[in-house]
Amino acid sequence: MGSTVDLFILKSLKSTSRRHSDDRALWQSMAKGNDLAFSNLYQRFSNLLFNYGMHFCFNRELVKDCIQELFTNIWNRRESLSEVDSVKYYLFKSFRNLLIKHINRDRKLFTDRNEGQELQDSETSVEDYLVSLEYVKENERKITAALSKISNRQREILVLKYFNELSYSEIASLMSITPASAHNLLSKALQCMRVVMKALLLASFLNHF
Amino acid sequence: MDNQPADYDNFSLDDFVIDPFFREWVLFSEIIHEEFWSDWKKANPSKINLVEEARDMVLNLEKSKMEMSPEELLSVWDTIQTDIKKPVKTLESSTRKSKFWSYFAAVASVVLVCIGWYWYELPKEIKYQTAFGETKEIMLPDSSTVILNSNSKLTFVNNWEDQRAREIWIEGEAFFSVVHKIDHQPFKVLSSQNVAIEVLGTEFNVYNRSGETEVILNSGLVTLSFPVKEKEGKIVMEPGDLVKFKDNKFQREKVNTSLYTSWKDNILNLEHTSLADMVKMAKDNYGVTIEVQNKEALSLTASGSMPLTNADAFLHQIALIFNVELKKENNKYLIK
Repeated sequence: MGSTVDLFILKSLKSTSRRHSDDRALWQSMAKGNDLAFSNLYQRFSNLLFNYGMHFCFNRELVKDCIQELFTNIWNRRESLSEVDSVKYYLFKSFRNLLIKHINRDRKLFTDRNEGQELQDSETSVEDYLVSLEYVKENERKITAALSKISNRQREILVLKYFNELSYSEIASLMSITPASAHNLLSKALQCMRVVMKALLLASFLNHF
Repeated sequence: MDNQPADYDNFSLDDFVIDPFFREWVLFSEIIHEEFWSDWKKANPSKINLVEEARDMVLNLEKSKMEMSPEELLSVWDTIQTDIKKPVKTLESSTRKSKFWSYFAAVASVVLVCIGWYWYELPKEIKYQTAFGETKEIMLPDSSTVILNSNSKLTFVNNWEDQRAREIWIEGEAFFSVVHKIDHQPFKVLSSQNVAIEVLGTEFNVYNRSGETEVILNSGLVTLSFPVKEKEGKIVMEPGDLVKFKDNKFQREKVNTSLYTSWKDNILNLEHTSLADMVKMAKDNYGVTIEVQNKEALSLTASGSMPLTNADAFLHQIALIFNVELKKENNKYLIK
C-alpha cells in the first residue's frame, strides 16, 4: 500500500510543478511578444483572480476593472518585466495592490476620508450584494454569507490557500505577515467558518418549523 | 508551491481541507482517488469522522467560488485588447525622436561595415535529408535534438544567435526535443502549409506530408499558428494533444502520444490501426508501391507493436498481423 500512496502523491506533485513551469514558459514567451501566450495566461488566471477579488471586496465591477488593468499593464510593460519565480504569486501580488489602490480611491471619492491601507469590514454591503444576486442558489448564498461573517483577512487567506494553493511563505509576504501567523490565521479562519456554518445550518433548520 | 508528500496519518482537519490531493478526491472523485481513500479509511478507522468533516468543509467552501460568466470573461478580454492597441505615449519616445538624426550617422557607418563583412560571412543554409527507410538523429547548434524520420527534409539557416527566434523548416516527419535557452529565445518550426509551431521548451512530433500537418505534443507547451482564410488562427497545445491541419482546417484531439512518436525508437505501436494507415505509412517511409487487391481488407484494424527495420520486413509483419497474403512482383507489393 505504501508504494501506491507515493505514486499518487508524486503524480499530483508532478502535475503542480509542471503547471508551475508551464506558467513560467508562457510568461517568458509573453514577455517576448507572443500574444497567444498572453491570452493563455489570461485564460489560466482571470477567474482565479476574480474569485480572489470577489472575496476581497464583493464589488464585481471593481474586480473586473482591476483584472483588466492588471493584464493591460503586464502587456504594455512586458519588455521591462523582470523574470518571475512564481507567475501566480506575481499576479496575485500585483492584483492585490491594484485592488487596494482602487478601493482606497473609491473610498476617498465617496466618504472623503482616507482609511489607510487596510480594509474595513463592510458587512452591510455584503448582505446587500448577496440579496441582489438572484441567481446565486440558496445554499451557495448561505456559504457566501458564512464567509462574509469571518474577517476580511481570514477570508483572504482561505482563498489564497484553499483555492489557489499558494505556499505559506508566499501568503505571508503577500499579506505582510510572518509565515507562522499565516498558519495561525488560516486555522482561525477554518475554525470560524465551521462555527458560522453550523450556526447557519441550525438557523435554517429551525426556520423549517 | 510547497506541497510536501503528505503523511495523511498525522493530518488534522485543516490539513485535509487544504490538501490538493484530498480536494481532488472530494470534487472530481476518480477511480484512483476512490481506491486510495477507501483503503486509507480502512487502515485508519478512527479517522473516518475527521475525513467526513473535512469532506463537508471542502464541498461547502467550493460553493463559495465565484467566476465570471463567459460573456464577462470575453468583454474584459476585449477591453484589454482595445487598451493595449492604443499606442503608449511617453516622454521618452519624444526625446528619442529629436536625437534620432544625431544617431543616424553613426548607425549608417556601422551598417556599411556590416554589409562588407556579410559578403564574406553569409549565414549558411544547412540541410538534412533522409532516404526511404532511413532515420537520422541531428544535433542542432543550440544542442536541441531532432530525429528525422525517413523520406524527410529539415532546413535551417545557421545564424540563430542574432535572430529573434530559432527557425526550422520541415518536410516529412520529425521528433523534436528542444533545449530551453537562458535568454528564452523562441524555437519555431515551420511546415509547408504555413503552420508555425512556437515552442516553449518541449518535446513534440511534427508530421508534414501530402498537404497535411500534424503536431503531437509529448511534454511542455507549444503555440501553433496557421492560416485560416485571410486571418491567422492560433491555439495553445497541451501535452497529449494532436492537432491536424489540412485544407485550411484544423482539428484537435487527445491521443496516446507514444503511438505517434514510437517510430523514433524504431518501434511502431498500433492501436486499432487500419491496414489502410499501414499501407500509407509504408509508402511514406519506404517509398514502395503497394497494391491492395482486396479492398475490404483495408478497413481491418490491429493493435500491438512491431519493430521498424526495412520495407521487406515491415510488409511481412503487416501480412502476418492482418492475416493477408503478400506477394512481391517487380518492385511492387501485392496484398491479396
